[in-house]
Amino acid sequence: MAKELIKLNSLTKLYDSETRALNDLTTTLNKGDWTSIMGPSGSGKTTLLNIIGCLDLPTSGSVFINGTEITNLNRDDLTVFRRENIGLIFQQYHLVPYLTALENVMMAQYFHSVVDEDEAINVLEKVGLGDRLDHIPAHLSGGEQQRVAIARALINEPEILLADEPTGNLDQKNGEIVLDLIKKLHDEGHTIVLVTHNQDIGELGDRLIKLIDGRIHTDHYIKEM
Amino acid sequence: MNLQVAQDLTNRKDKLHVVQVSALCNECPVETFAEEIEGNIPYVEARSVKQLVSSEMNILNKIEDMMLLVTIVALLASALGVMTTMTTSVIERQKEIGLMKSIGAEDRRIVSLFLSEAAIIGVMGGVIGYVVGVILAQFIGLSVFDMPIAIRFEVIPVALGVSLGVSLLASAIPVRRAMRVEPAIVLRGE
Repeated sequence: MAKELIKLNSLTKLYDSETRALNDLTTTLNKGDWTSIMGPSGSGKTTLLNIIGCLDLPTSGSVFINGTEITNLNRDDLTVFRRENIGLIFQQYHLVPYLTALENVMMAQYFHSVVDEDEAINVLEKVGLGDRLDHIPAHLSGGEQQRVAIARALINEPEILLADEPTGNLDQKNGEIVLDLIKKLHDEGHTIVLVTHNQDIGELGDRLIKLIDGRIHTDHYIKEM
Repeated sequence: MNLQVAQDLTNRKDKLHVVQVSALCNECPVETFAEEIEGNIPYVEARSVKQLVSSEMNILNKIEDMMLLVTIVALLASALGVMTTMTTSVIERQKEIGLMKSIGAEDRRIVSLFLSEAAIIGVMGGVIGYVVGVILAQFIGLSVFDMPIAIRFEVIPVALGVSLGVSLLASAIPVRRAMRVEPAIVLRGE
């Protein structure tokens, strides 16, 4: 039986009295699963990802990750929990423009524990950027920048990888390279939660959840389709 | 210059205009002597040396007060400068701050990062301020008072301490702003 890793209970997120991003959402995500979250703009996908990623808290409801109720944690504890358990991949890459690829990865090590250059080089080699270590983001293609971001997300060996439209800014070729990499990470055992607008990408995972107006509209395992 | 030489040079033999009176005793009525001299010698101004020194000291004290005021205004101006610089830096680097938080930097790491930058600005400002201050003081000393200013090295730690303190205090508001950056908001995809 699959182990429950992330448990969401009656999550509601209000931005103001009229904007209800999540509406009494309850579900469980299993360890090792690749769960794709789809839905139209404003359906609550990114809000849900932010809450799972400890970047935001729900207005009501509770979130358990690996048995820890993160909704009870304060800001600093949330930060520590995130850096120990979660790797984040953004659509915009969000690399520091004046740092090299290697330094961008090492920055995540610096805030986690200790800087280990060899380990950072290994992770960059794993994402196929062994020959781009000293390049700054402006000298890398979009796909290469996203792979640096993936290396940065992986460097502290998180159990969960959260990706918000990771191929949204990439052309088809680079998008495929990044998706192949995510598949590889999934095969290695990482739990992946990926937000996308693209049905084909959504169906690459094990499970597909569709949100509408902050509620789960459909939720099924791909193999069962 | 000897009085007689001065009288010879100005062709005013036996003439006097100002007499400065001092006595080699503490209790002597020097003011009375000065009044008597003025009464007995027409067109002469007699002043006790003590009175002259006291009025010069008054002027020096006023200059000192003015310099203190100038210093306070300069410190306030530099505090404002540091605050503006740091605030601009925090606003421009919001995404970077959000990113650092998202990959695990607690608030104290962000605070220490910006306070380190403020400390560097403060120390550099203190060093540059001291060097420029010494050069300007020498220039003013030589051109106005016709004498060089003695360089006091013990002032260096005080100057550095004050500029560091002002810089750190002026950074309090920008650093607070950096702490409030919400990664979920600044990293939102457009």
